[in-house]
Amino acid sequence: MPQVEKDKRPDPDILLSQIEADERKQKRGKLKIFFGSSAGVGKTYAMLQEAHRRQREGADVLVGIVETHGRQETLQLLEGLPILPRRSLSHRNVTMSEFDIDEVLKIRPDILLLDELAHSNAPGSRHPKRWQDVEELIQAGIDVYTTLNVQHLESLNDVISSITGISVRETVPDRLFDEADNIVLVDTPPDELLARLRDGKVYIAPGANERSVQNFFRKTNLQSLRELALRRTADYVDIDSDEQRRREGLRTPNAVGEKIMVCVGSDAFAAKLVRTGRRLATGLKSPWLVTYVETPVAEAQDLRSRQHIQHVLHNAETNGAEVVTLTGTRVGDELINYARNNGITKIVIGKSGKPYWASIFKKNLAEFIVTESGDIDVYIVTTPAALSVAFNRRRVMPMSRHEGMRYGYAAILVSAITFGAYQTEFFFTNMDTIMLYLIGVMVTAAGLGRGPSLLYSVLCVSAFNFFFTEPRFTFNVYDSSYWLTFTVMFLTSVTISSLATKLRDQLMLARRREHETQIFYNLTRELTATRTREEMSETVIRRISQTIGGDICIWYPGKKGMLELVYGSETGDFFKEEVVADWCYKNGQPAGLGTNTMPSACLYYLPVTGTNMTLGVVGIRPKNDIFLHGQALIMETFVSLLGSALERSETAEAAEQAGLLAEKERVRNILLSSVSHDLRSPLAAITGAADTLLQEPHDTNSETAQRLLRSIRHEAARLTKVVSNLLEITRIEGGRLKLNVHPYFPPEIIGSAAESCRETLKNHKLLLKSLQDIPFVNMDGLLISQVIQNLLENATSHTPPGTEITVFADMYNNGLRISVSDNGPGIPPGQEREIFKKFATFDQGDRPKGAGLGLAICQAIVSAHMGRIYAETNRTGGARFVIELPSELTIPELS
Amino acid sequence: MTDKARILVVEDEPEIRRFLETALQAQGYVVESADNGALALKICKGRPPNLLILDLGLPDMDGQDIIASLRDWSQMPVIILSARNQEEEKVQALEKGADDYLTKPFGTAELMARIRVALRHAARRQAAASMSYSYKDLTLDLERRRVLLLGEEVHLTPTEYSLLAALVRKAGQVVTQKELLMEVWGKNAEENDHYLRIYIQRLRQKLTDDPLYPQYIFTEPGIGYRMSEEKEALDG
Repeated sequence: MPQVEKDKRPDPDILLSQIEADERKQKRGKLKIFFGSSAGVGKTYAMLQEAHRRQREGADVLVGIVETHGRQETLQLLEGLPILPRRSLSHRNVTMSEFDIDEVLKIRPDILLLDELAHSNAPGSRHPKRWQDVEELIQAGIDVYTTLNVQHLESLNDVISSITGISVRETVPDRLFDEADNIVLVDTPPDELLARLRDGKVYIAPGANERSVQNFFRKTNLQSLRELALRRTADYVDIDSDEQRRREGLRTPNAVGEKIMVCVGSDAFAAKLVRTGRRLATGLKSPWLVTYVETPVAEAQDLRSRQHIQHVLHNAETNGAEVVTLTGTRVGDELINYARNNGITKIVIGKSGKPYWASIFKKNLAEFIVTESGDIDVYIVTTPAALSVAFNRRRVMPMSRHEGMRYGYAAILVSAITFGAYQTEFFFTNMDTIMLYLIGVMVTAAGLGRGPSLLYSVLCVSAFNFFFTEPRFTFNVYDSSYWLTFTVMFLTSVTISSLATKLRDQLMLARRREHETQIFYNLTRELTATRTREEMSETVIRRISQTIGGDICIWYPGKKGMLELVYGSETGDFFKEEVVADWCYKNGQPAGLGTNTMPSACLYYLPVTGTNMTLGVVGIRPKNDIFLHGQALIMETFVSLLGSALERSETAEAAEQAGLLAEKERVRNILLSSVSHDLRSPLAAITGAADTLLQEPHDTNSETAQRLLRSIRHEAARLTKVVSNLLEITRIEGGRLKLNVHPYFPPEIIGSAAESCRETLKNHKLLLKSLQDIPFVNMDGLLISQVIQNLLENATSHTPPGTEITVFADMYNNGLRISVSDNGPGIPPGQEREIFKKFATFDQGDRPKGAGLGLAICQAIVSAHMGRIYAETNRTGGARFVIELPSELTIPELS
Repeated sequence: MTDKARILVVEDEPEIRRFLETALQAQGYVVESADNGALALKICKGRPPNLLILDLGLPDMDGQDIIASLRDWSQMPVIILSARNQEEEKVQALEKGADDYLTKPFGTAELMARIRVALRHAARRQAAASMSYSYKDLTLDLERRRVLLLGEEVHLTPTEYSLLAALVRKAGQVVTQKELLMEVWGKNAEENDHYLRIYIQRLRQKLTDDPLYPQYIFTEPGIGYRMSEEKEALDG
């Protein structure tokens, strides 16, 4: 049996990820790039030919954008292909026609042709770049054919600008190229291309500088570009075959676990570092990540650098890097720790072009990393000094007034100490003066920051030299030992100030973290207390406006799944951006301001996501249209908290529904058992009595016969009551309880109720009483009369014959109060509330029980009158039922 | 009991029909029965009975329609049978011309009392209307419009008097609120049933009739009022 080579067996994890990737690709459309070294090589031509071929095969081909540049051969090829009408966009009074992505998504062709992948869309389009349109189309399952020149590839941007001297602004992330399903290299030898150029067959943008065009189309340039294009295509083929090999379980070359970390700062150099990192990662075929350390100093940076670093990080992300933002005061430590903990094998870092002296006091970050990196390889990329300086110069901001004042305070403190020490010189030695100065250092360092304390150090050494050392009032010193004093003084003050500053920075950071934690904690706590979607949204909006401010809106899907604006702050016009919110909702991705999707929108839209669906969209327009430090993160956290809260409430609602169902089920079961008992027992008694009468013919006047007949009569009455109560509760519960409210005279109601149950009450003593001047009261007389009847019947069935039952009507807080009390055995303690529940009957020996519905009916009727009914034990120990109707129902003027 | 009164029982439930037949025959009435509306109307037209006991829920016709068509040509007393909680149905039937109602289930005593009153009223209609009413301490002289309580004259306003008179004319039978309102206040007062309750209260006060323990005027919740039956009738 041949031995299976263990190593060659495909790793299940790799296979699984392969399958997942394949599945993703199956649902996605396919991207085919016609790739060339420069304009004029015939990419569009090749693309159109391919399109025709596919059309003949039966594919549904649509021309999105094809630039013919007036060339006949291309124009001819367009014939027979359906062309998508362009959408006109007006931006600042200029109307431009642009590619209409929505229409394509509506038409859903099999294949869409979209020339010039690197094209930048007109402002106001959904995505700023055409390649982003392409990504969306592929995501939507549409195959896309497109064209691309080598100089537009992001990673080759630097190289090409150095070769041709022309910098290209419109770039396409390499990710797109590498992940394309097909690359077709359209190759034309430079000589032939130059010949075509001479024949005017190569499109040159009108108004282009003729000299630069000539510069570009030099044979050497064209050769280099061709070489790059060929190499890049070869790289692609390489990646492609690697994938194939991996699938087949074969080892791929270079497949060692390399992981690259690119460390960037907020300087202009960051973009270059990212490009270098990418090239390295592609070469090594390894994952890579870009790290940026946020420091308290960074917090004070101006908007420009913040925007810059955000842009760089975003760019890295689109190029396939994992972006990591770390927070801390010591950049080097943070980086090294992260690298160690995350299995980084290579670090790419820039060496700043700072002058040599700047690194005397502070170790260069690159050097620090090199020292601390251990077995991690470090690649140092040198910054062109000019670039760094130029950028730094731009970054120098005018000193704020506040900043200036702090330097002023440092100077004032030195002067004050100097003046004080000078005045009291008689009592002090120079040593004491130095001590005084050092105290001042601590005060400055703790309170005023690094710059002012450095100034303080310089000033205090100078002042000491000037005022306290011989010869006085000069900077000369006779005693050379003072130089040591000066040096120690200076170093001490610098050290103290740097330590104190660091401490202050850490404190600030800790405070900020604590503040953020507090914010999230508060929100979480508040959200826990809310129940409805409206309350939750309100809470989150309030918190967002407190912490970030600006215009906020919230959209939720309404009926038919269409988004509806649920909340919008007063200042904004949110409806015009409905499209953006809608896109965000449907794609579950952030959109609008600061994103790649419709960045010209005024607001930044975040989807509110639950575990497996988007629940809504939150839009925000931060002040000055940019998120300050950490705000984006806060915002994201807020929105995700809202998402989980919404989901929780939905779950709770579902549980409540389930609970209600269970309750209904329970009641139904009780109903069945209770009804079957209450119906069967009187029926059994009637049947039994009737049988006895039939079997042994009695004289109907005999005592036995009379007893049996009375029993039949009594049981029948009981049965009647059960049935009518059941009907009544069904009527009430079916929502058919409609009050017919009119002014009634309470004693009349009581009198008629007592009259109706005269038969039932004949074995009890009934006492009816009423307040002398009781007013007319608005009520449904019929229903209230029924309540009294039910209470009377309840009293007769739970008390022995001869018991006294008293009905009393009086006023209570201007409302009507009717009580029905008896001097019977009373209600079992603790049952006063229970007895109003449906089918509640308490055990009272063998006394007949009702179906336990009478009191429930009373409660329903009284509640419908906005009144209340309760039971208690009265002074005699018997039961007392009280009905209270609210004072609003009383109408005194009628009586 | 005067001659043998003929009573037609219209009821589709055989058990109840049998019970009614037995009970009525035991009281000396001649009983005929019908289990549907068409047959009932046919019997009424052929040989009109002295009284009709009508169940409102019949298989072929609405009881209300039977009353309406009967009232086109006959004044024979009609007592309807109906279930509890169907006050509206009862009021409707009474307004269409039924004389009284019984709520199922009912006792024999109650049924006999209603029949007696209904037959007596019918007899009076055919002779001349009685011009006086007397029960317990109350005496009413309809001819002279005088009300006496323990022999003392009670002073009533015209409205109070006409209300009392309307009740007395149908003493022992229920009078619907609407009937009273129309008779006392005229057609436009139909909706103002609280007037009625206020005047009933004043009337009770003047007649020293305690609403908690009424002797003369009884309230039928949701339907109307019933004046107690005359003493002599009870005796008879």
